[in-house]
Amino acid sequence: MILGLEFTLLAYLVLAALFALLRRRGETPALAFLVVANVLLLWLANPALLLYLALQTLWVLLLYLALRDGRRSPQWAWLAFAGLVPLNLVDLAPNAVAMLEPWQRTAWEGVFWSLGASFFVVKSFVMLREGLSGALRPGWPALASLSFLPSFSAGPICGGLPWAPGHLARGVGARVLKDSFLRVGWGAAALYILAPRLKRLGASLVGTPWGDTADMYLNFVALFLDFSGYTAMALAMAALFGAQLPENFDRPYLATSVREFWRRWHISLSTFIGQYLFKPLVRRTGSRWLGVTLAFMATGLWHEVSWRYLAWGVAHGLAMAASLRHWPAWEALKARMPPPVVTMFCWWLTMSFVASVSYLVLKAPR
Amino acid sequence: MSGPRPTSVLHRVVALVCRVAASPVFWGLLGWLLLVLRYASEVVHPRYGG
Repeated sequence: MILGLEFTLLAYLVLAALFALLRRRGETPALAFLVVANVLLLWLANPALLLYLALQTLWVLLLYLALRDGRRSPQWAWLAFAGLVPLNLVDLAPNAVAMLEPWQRTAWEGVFWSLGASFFVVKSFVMLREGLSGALRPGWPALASLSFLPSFSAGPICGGLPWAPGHLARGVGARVLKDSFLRVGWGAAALYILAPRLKRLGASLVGTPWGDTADMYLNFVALFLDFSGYTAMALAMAALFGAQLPENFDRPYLATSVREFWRRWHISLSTFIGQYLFKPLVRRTGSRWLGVTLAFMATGLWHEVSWRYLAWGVAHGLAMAASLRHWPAWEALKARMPPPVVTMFCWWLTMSFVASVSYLVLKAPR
Repeated sequence: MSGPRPTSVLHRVVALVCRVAASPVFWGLLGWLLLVLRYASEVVHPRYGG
């Protein structure tokens, strides 16, 4: 069974129409219907993955029941991340089939499912914290958010609130339809056409120092098109159901510092890091630079338990820590240079840093 | 004296390019155009099992 882009788009258009009809009877039957449809599609795509997701959901529900009376610290919610352990031991890829990937049926499928499952774990943690804070009760909105296939493999990271009654838009008007149409068009083209072409172009240049450098920058642009294209489609499809998922990108290629980059790139992850890792770690350690370095190291290991992602976390953490400090010599140098030159230099430095760290992760052995 | 400042052709072209580049309508329609072209080329030269 191949769940290609055409199939997924068509399926979710039909589901959105049926969802709108069912909402006339109330939000609960509509959300229950969506959950059943999502589960059915997941089962068609990868039964092994569905079993993993069911076990993780059950695990988080048990944690919620154990912690909801408030007698234990909400820090126990971190046990939700125990779900990442089997991900690093068991390969879900062999049972994977191509989904949302009609033209590039490659080894990327394995990454797709593993990444999707790790996103699922972090989303289930956010929902657990929402549940423990009283903002969300376990039920159909949480399950709809967790199982919504278009936002499965690359987020954005959010809890169940966008799907909760009162948060769902009352109806889907012409403007939402137009915006969704445009977003799906650009997102799909970026993900399926432009990103793979840039990667192929980069691979064809490898072999010389200039060629390797070009490959590094092309891979960075491809990563953005890949990731933001995917997110654009997820946001567009969720909007058809009245759910407003958080924006994940804000022109990150305009950033002139690593700090600004993380305000523009994968915003839902930055929000997660800030809320659940950075602030508590700063409170514990009393040091902002230590807090941000540890937070990014943990985020690296969330991507994958490996030396290469630990190195990724250390590099970004230290860069963020450096950007939190005031450097008098640099400020004095900047004051003597024309502002456009400073901006261009900072932009080039930021892009080169992020691109080279990503490239090292891409090329380094696990 | 007040009134609109005279702008050169270059300024107007740059302003137009910036406006188009910031428009989601442009990128959305460009995306659909690329998808249609890609889909058409797949139909003419199928890569998988054609």
